[in-house]
Amino acid sequence: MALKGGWAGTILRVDLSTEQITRESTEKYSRYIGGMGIGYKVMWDEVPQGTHPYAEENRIIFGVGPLTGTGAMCSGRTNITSLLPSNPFHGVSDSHMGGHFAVEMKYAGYDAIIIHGKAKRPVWLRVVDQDVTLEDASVFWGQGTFNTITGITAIMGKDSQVAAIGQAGENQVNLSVIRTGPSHSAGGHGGVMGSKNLKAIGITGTGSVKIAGDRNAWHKLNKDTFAIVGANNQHVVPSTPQAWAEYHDPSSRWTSRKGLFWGAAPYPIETGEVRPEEANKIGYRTMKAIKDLGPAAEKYTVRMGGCASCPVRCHSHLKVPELAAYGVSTNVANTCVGFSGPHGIMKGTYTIEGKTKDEANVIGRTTGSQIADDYGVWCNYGQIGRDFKWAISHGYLEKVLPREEYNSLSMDKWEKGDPDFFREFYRRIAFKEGELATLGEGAYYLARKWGFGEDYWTDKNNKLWTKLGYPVHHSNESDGIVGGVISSMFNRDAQCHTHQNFLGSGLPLNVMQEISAELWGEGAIDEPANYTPVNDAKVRFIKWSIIRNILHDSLTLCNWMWPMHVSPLKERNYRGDTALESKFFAMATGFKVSEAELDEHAERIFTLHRALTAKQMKSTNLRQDHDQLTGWQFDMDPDKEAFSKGTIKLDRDDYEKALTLLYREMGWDEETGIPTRAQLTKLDLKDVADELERMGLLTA
Amino acid sequence: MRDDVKDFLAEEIRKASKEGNLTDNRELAAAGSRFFNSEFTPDMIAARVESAAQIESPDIRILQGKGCYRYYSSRSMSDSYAEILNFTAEGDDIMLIASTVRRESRTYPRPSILSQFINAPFLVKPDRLDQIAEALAADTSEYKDIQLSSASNGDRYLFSSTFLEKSQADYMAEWESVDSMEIQ
Repeated sequence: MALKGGWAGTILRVDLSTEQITRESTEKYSRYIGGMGIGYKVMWDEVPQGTHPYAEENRIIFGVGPLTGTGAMCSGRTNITSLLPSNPFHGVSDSHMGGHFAVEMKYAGYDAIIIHGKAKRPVWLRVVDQDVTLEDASVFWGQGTFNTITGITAIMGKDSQVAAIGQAGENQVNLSVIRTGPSHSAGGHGGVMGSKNLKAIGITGTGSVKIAGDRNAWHKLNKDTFAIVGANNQHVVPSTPQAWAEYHDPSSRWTSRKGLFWGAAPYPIETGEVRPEEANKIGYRTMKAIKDLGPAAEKYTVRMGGCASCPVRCHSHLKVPELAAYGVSTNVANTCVGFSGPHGIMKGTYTIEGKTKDEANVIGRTTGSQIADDYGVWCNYGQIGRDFKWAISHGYLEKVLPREEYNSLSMDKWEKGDPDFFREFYRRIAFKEGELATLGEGAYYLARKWGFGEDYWTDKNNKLWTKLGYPVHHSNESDGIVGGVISSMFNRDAQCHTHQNFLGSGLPLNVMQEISAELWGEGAIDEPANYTPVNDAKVRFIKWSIIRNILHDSLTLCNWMWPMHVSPLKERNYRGDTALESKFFAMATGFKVSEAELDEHAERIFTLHRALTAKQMKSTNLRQDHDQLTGWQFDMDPDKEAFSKGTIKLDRDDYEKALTLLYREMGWDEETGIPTRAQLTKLDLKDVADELERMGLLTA
Repeated sequence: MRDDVKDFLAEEIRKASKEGNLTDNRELAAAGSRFFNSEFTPDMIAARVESAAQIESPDIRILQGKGCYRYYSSRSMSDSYAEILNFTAEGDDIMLIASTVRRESRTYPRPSILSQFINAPFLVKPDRLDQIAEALAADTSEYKDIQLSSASNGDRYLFSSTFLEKSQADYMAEWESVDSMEIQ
């Protein structure tokens, strides 16, 4: 089928071992949409079972989708697929980054870049439209991400976009990132680039993305979307009571209000109140700085930034003059876990002479963010900090580190809350200096090497979701069993925000329950901390949340904003439009698909992910081998029963039942959680069924 | 009854609402007297606004104050916001906080973080906050349902036990002030 619009139509393939650069058509992957879907298909077809993430045979795929670069709202995400080094069985996973790299790929004419092999010496990949070359990276090897991105940008020009690894990636630290722009990181696969001697990819694209549909209709659709978008995470009520708003929620990221300023802007910029109809002021709605860094961040905030085609701007750009004392740039940008992840390694609050507690908090967190980003160390969604503190509090650190190494650690700085501690911590991780660097290998490898007991996994404060070594990420605190099961379906922390954005929209429970009943049936959501057992509506909510997450990572749209289940508009009864993705897809590509049909494409991709997991684990029972929890989820709050008020405790039998119901809904073997031949065939994945059968992994 | 007076009153109310304010029958009596060069009493204004709200201007809403009637237009001000402004205008910060806590516990449901009451539109004096919270939590009659909850970082919340159990309020307070900072 010929591709008319949306897709660039070409995939770039780079074999670093042979230095061969080839191109192929995207058509063969169109049933997998793009981004994540292309990544899984390539991994299934090309990477043999048992391949190590750092082996030449492994692929790393930078994928974008048919909506990337079209101007559809929040369509600036790059999806990176590869084997995950920190995962015990090296399962396939994805890391994602925002910024402008994704759209530049499209403008250069590519839907994906597939990289394999290993360069004989450090290189970087230079892409200027059709002119693609491998360049000597010796000058950048050993440099942090900031210098690397700056250096390559200086060579390619200011209109280029660069994705690079730091020293952590070079040294094949499992927990390492790929970073682009001033603040966008994809956590998990930096070491894969390092293992291939690939320091960076620089892209300049001078083309455009074709839209198959009518231009005016496209603009109207985009305008309609602007009318129903909220703030970051599609929060649709303001955080303070405002005259125009029927509801408010202090936890909402719609922070704009009178008297709130970007305090370090060249001239005073007040966010003011931004009403739903003020589409040109959406960028003022979310002042993430004060959410991530506390109230003192207001005076340090220069502006908010973000990704291509995103009006929401969730990345805080700050000027923090005090950072000069720690040897890092005073211009800092990041968001969410980019700030809280590094902070997690510290004992608690920061102490900085002459600074208030709130100011010290900004200085401390931004210092950690700058240093971790430059070395390119990933926090495993905050787990590295909890691991470090577990090792300290349970006496492991003193026991496993050689005496000389232990004594060389500036634990006095850690005790005092001195941000200078970040420098030596991250340096040791990034350069694999000494035993401490084991923290950078990820929870599973760390626990094994340092001999952590079972209590490491079962302590709820460690937040470890499964023994695959990843933590909670909108898990049982997000509608109980709903978030609980979603968190078990991937090979790393579930980066799924479909359910969480809905639950955190800020609307009152009765409105939320009406909307959820329309979408998934009665009983899909409960009152917070008063959860009920699994039911069919919850299972539909689980499946829909995962499928839409997969869809967004394939199209690519930002799952921190999409889908638009809700809106800030009272006149719409706060309803959003869940068919928007299919409307954009149909208009961009010219393929008329319904909402349900597009969801089925995403279901194919998720089912392929499940098959990939079975293949990689050589498992005939994913329920047992993959989907089991660490235990604290069932044993927490010993004085409370599951399904009682005030707890998010899960029930073992209910969890197993939820898995069974989800497997049934997905068309997987209800016992083993392996996709069935019938379902694989229905989803046009017969070749996958054949391969699973050949491997002895097909159970039904 | 002169339609132009009712139109004037409705427009004055709408103008105030658009600016985020309530207006009352005393202010409108003064404004009307100036505009029409004719004497209007607060009672006359109250009667005319009530009539207008029933027929020509259904967006006009009326709130009862202790010594006056306050007005807003639903075109640009929500009921919940107007209720807060009404309590603020009454100068009764205890009632303001108690009614807000009850509404939030019932509606969302969630416990109400105490610090929000310092900010607009509540504008409760910071040094009064703890005092009010303690007083409400200790009250055994009119406010006996209002209770305190605290997160481990020291943030204090109030909730109504009519709509939320303490264990639920405690969980939500801890999530909001502590745990959600790590999971975003």
